[in-house]
Amino acid sequence: MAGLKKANGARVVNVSSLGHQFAPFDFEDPNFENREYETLAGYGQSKTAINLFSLELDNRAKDFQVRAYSLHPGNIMGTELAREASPEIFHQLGLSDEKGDFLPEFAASLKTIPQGAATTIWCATSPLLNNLGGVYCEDADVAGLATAEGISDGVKPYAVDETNAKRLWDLTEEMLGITFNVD
Amino acid sequence: MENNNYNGAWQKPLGSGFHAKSTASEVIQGIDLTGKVAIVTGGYTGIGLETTQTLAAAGATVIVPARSMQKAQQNLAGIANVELAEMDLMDHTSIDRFAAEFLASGRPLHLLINNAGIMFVPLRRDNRGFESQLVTNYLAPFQLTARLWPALKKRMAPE
Repeated sequence: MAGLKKANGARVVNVSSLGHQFAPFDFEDPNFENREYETLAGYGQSKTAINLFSLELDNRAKDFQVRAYSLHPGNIMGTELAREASPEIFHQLGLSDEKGDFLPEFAASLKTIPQGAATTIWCATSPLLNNLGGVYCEDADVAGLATAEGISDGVKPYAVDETNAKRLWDLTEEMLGITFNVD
Repeated sequence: MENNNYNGAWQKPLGSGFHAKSTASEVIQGIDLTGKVAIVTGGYTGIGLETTQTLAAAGATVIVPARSMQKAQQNLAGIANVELAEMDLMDHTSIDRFAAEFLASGRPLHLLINNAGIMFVPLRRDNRGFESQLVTNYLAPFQLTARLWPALKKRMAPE
């Protein structure tokens, strides 16, 4: 068995975001049918969902030496991710001033693309994670729990909650009309 | 120690020695991925492209599913060990098709990187009525992972 462990199991790495802190998953109305569309809430719940998926997948898959991870890559300049975002959103988030210029402390926290891919690569390859999974990572390490109010480093408890994770798995199978049997 | 990370039991930094400014090539130093197979969604732009380049440089074969084959070909030109295949996360039938083709190749899958994402877009829905950020950032990765599960599990077979 020692040999098997050394063989490096497969890994599923899900790129999540600090944006999971914008919203928990809305089990009552995941598709905005009964509420006004709010793009921050939509983004937030989608990233919360991928965290919960990583958690639940890891617990189900680890017996097959398949581990799962989620991560925040950092705030990165020069990607296409925010190409449709209005400048007002960054002001609303407290990241830029009224003219649309980023605040100095936010600007200083921005990562380059090679820095932004580091946590993904770390989750995919680090030997430190050989016997650990289902964790949310940032800055090429496992992140702490974000227990304070508001936006901070780390992962919100609702995004690693056992009940939410199991409930979401079942709901997702139902929504997609597929069964994901990890066996 | 807990047997899983439910409720954040394992959410404590390990002291990896890396930090916010560490780069992809720094964290992969000393790791050899020769013979490993990886799939990187969105692996032809931004941090996905950097991920593809870094894994390929360490020896992995990297398959990049692309919605725009032309753009992907352009961006990935000249990188060794990279393959392209068509897939659109907003079209669930294309996910099934991509996964079926991969499974038919008989290869194991060592790394699945669900990297592709969208952010802060206006309200859009796919043809099932699902909201686009939920689809691209979550539902599609769930479906892709489910379909590729036999290949993820397969890497346990003796090599």
